[in-house]
Amino acid sequence: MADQEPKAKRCSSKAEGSEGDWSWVLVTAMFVSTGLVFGLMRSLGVFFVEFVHYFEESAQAISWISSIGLAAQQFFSPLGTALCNAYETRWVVMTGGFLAGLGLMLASQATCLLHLYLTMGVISGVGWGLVFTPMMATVTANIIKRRALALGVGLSSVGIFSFSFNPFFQFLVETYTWRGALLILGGLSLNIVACGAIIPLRRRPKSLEKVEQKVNAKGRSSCSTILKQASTYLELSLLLERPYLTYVAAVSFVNFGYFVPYFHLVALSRHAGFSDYQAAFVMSATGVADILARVMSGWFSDLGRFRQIHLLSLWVTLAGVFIMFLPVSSLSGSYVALLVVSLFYGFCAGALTCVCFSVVPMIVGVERVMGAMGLLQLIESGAGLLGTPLSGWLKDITGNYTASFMVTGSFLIFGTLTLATLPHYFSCRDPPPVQRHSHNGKNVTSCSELEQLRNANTSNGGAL
Amino acid sequence: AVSINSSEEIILSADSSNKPVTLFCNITTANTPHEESFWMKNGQEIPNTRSEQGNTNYRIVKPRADDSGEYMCVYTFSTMPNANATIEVKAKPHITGYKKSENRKEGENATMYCKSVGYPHPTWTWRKVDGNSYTDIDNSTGRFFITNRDNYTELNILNLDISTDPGVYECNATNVIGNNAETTILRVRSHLAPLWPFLGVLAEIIILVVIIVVYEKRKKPDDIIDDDEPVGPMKTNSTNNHKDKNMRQRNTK
Repeated sequence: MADQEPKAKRCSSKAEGSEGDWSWVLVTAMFVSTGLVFGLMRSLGVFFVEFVHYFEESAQAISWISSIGLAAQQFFSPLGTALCNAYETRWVVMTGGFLAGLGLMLASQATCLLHLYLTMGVISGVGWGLVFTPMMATVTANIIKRRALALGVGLSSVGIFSFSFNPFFQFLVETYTWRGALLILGGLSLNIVACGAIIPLRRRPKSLEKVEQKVNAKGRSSCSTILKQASTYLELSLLLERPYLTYVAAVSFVNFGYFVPYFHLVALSRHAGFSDYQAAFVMSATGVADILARVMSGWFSDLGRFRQIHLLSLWVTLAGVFIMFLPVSSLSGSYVALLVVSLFYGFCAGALTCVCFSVVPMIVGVERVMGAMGLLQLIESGAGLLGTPLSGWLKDITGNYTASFMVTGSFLIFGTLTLATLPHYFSCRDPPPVQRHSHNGKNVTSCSELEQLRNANTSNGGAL
Repeated sequence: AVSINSSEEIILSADSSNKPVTLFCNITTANTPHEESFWMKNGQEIPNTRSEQGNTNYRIVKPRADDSGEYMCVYTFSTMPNANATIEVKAKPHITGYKKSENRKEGENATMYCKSVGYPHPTWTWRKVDGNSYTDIDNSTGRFFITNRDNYTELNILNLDISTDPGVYECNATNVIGNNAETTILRVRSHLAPLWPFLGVLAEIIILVVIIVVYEKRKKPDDIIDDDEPVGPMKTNSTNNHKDKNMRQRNTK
């Protein structure tokens, strides 16, 4: 124990002393970069109106631009995290920011729709993929005491940015035409490069160095060693672990139903007989509740009164229940009832986002967060893509929204049940962090995992 | 000789727009009886108006500006040519189509137009509006072209000049009954307009990156956050909690 003390002191003084000032800089970087990725993606509607007019194409053809961009962002998330494992996160995020800006700047010179697909869709999409998940994983891995709050603040930027970008983009398009506006947006997206520069360089984790030593020893890299290296960087071994698989399945079920109200709430309100303005107001109010909930839920879960996994189950269950109540409340004919249920749904949906990512290090260990997030983002987004068409199909068959909302709400409940099968779910304390084995066979624990264990024991064990 | 009694000229106005209007024709003297009667508007037959009556009515239920025009009741004969009477339904011109704004780059051509409904066809004039004062269009540079047709007018400006051309342009439709006007805002953007904010954003990013790099160079090397440095071997038995407690107590000194 004597040899642990100096290192423990150094660990804690580093963590507690510097986490304060530097961590809020990192959260600001995540706030800005996430807003410039998803907030920007959600506000491109202004440009699409211009494109339909200028290129004389159908709205469906134009909407492929954002579909390609979103699909590229999600698909290349594991690539982004693997590159961060292999090289430095800082360079990956800076490259991603550069690509995102480049795509938009090239799009300003587009002369046909295909150019837009390739620039705004593919190039910017790949750039966004290299930015969002690595940034989120960096925050998750490096901020321990207030992890959920940091994630909540960082993710709330999506709603805030998309809210303020809509009128701002309208102004840009009117003043500079869409070409000039895209050029300026490309420049704004380059701010992500500055956000990436904030991420500090780190020494590579030993487990990955072990693989590289094997490669160097052999002298030449054969196909199998390259594949082995790639699978280590992608953390594909996680797919063989039951806790991680269970968690990914649970989050996929949640994602299946999570987006449905955002797509169908306006139609549901109008179906129930409310006016366009009333329906739009319900959506805006839900969005505001979502933003507030992300921050508040992050602050609350960091208080440590309850285990984060339990809080996640609570928010997911409540969100599922409120989704199921939505068609009931709209059928009742009361606008207030619909508004109240939507607000509650928005709150629960926002609250679950930050806890959902903040729980990942407790399942896979802090060191593998980067790869875990990449794979999680890829798999859960596949479920998200399937959920909305399914609910639309249900509505087409049954003629109203009751069945589709009931089914999607039940998917969330099913997600909670899946969460309950995680190991140590029913205990009151967080389990000890996942143990790694170093190359000399001893069990090692990093600074951050020590901190995590300490936090878990103080919050659950009461005052000492 | 044929004589037809018909209603007088009708003037549609905005305040009586909900009262229905009826045009009537009555053929009073004719050598031979007529075969059919029907109505025409602006030279085209109105469907479903053919009848054999001599006393024929055409009812406009909710008259609007586009109901105005030159109406004719026509009587057909087997032995002689058709006889008709004309009733003019007049209204103030109502401008139905125009652009709210026209945004173009300098050197390009701008097109502004106005479409109207109403009879008689209006005469069109274009003016430039500046607050409350109106100025006629100055074509000393020869770049302005106005094309007028019955219910349509177009103002073309070639080779836009960013200093003199931007502003509010008004098309005015006038006929014997009254007039109406609508305005279009013309904005001329310079080629380089978006370049300035773009360069400004680039400058801001470069300054930020330089600040971050300088700050990092000045920080001492061992302050770099290093989470992955192992603390050392740790046993995971029940004595863990005691160790943590002890360590924390020591560190809080």
